[in-house]
Amino acid sequence: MLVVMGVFDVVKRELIDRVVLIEKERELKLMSSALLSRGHVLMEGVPGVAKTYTSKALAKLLGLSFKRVQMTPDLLPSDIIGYYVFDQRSGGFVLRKGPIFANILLVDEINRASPRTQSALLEAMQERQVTIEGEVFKLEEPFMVIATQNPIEMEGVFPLPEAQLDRFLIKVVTGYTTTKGLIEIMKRADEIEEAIESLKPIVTREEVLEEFKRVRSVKVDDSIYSYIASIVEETRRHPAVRLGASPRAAIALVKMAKAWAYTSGRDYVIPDDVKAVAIPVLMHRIIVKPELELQGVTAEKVVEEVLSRVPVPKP
Amino acid sequence: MRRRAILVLIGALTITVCLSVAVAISESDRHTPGFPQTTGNLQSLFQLPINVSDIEKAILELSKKGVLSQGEAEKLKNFSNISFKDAVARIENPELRNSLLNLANKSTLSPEDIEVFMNYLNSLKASELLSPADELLALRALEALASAIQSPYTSEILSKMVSALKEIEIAKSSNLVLTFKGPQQSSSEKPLPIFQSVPLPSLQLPSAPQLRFSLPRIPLNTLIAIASCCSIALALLFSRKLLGTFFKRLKTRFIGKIPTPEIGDKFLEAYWRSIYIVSAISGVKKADAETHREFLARASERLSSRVAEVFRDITFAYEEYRYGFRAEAGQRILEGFRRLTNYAKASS
Repeated sequence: MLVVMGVFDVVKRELIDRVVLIEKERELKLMSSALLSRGHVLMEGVPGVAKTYTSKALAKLLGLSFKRVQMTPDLLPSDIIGYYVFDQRSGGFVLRKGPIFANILLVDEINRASPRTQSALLEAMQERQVTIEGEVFKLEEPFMVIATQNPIEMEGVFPLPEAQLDRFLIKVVTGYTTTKGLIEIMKRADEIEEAIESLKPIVTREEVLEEFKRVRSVKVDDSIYSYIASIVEETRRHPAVRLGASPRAAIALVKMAKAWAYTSGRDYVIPDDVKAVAIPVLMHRIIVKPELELQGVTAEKVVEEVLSRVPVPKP
Repeated sequence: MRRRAILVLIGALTITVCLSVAVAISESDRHTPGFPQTTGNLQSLFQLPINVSDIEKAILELSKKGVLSQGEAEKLKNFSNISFKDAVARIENPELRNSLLNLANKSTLSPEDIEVFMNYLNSLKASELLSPADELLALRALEALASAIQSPYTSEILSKMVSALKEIEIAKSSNLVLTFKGPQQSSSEKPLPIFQSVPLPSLQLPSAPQLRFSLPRIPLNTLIAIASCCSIALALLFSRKLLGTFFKRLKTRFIGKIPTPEIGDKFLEAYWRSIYIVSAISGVKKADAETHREFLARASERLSSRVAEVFRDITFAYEEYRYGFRAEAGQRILEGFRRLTNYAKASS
């Protein structure tokens, strides 16, 4: 068993145990795991469920550079990645870096941006680099995009294309709290706001990078790979599915399972890790047949059904 | 789920038993709702063995009690033995006499003829042109005609005579208590012994229709069969627990002889044998798609805390050994397995 104080342990201690964020442990564990897997997170939830707060608190605690972009339809790609401006003093063009040059980029309401601006994020998310005026700039590690979107907005939004959805390692659906949690939030609303603002970095960038290596060394037995392959293939065979999970989804599942095992204090993956992350990893990569979608079949239900069918490794 | 099944079965059994009892009780008096329940009495009107001699006896009794006048008694004298012609001759109403003679002249006496004549009698009675004695004599004459041709309406004519006598009694014996009473008759009202020898029917009007719970006809055998099935199902449900305990003990008794899965690794084999033992103790079987921890959580709910703790150690050691590639965890599996076996043997 690991005894190292990991990212999630710190996050849990500072945000959950000290009641800065209420009933957000699962979301924070998923986000921490995604960060340690070098992945990006798409957070989906109705307005007012602390999507932005959660992302902001995580970034502040990790001592990483944090930028936030509020997406609007008139936002240009250069507003995110940056542009060259003429400097009269030097008599030449100087680069004005966009908010993408940060360790954690919070893209609020990503589906409000135009497809052109959304696609500007594609290269950065996948290649971890941006190209400005033909010049390539590597983004500093760690680099994580946390994008939020509101599932109920229908007008003035541009749904993310499948290719871009696939770039997100996980999709975290965050919902309302319980009544008890809601009462606690109401009582402590001012304190929570102050607590988030006054959060100090506890984990350094170097420590985070060190954890990347540890996560990468988490052991995965061959039977676990077979188990993941069976799950991914089963999503393609499911009668309600139009487009099943891709090989990229399988890789994502392995990465997340490793990170989940690590944040759970293990250096080996067990089938429970795969099951724990399967829904966040696969749900946004599976396209359900439209006629069945109308009947209430969702990608989440499909993954749940697949998990209840695929046998775990034996012996 | 099991509780619900038991409740449903008990309910079904109760309903079936109630229905069986109800059917057994009400089998004889099943009737159509809204109709009087005294149909038996009405039926007996036509089934009672009334003959002309009985009518004559009744006439004599009424004469003695003064219900019939001297003249009427004289006219009705020897009522049982008078012939058709004599009866016709004694009738005062000429029209009635002619009608009877016309009837006698017919070659055959059809039911329609009798019905027409009865209606004719009723119309005469309604217009007060018919004396009670004439009515009785006319009916006697008609009975004589019907008997001659062995008509099935003889008994109906006789009962009509009884009705006529009853009407005479009612009309003329205002001081007397009514002899013909229905079932509502009070105990203080004692009937006169006049018609004791004649089995007179209760000619009450049909009682007001009553709404009664009427069930569809279900054969008693079917109900008994349903009750038997429910009883067997209940017995099986209740005995399942007892049988389960028995088999659990039986299984744990043979723990040392449980089939060993051929894995080729004694530590992994020990874990899968532990699963077998835990399944036997808890009654929870591991599903193929269930992870080791999911099974642990499910089985622990039905295990004692000590056994659950041991199985938890075995499961975690198995994970370390199997997925964490830690050979030292294997010994912990074996140790846990030994403890689990001891607990299981002790509990059996």
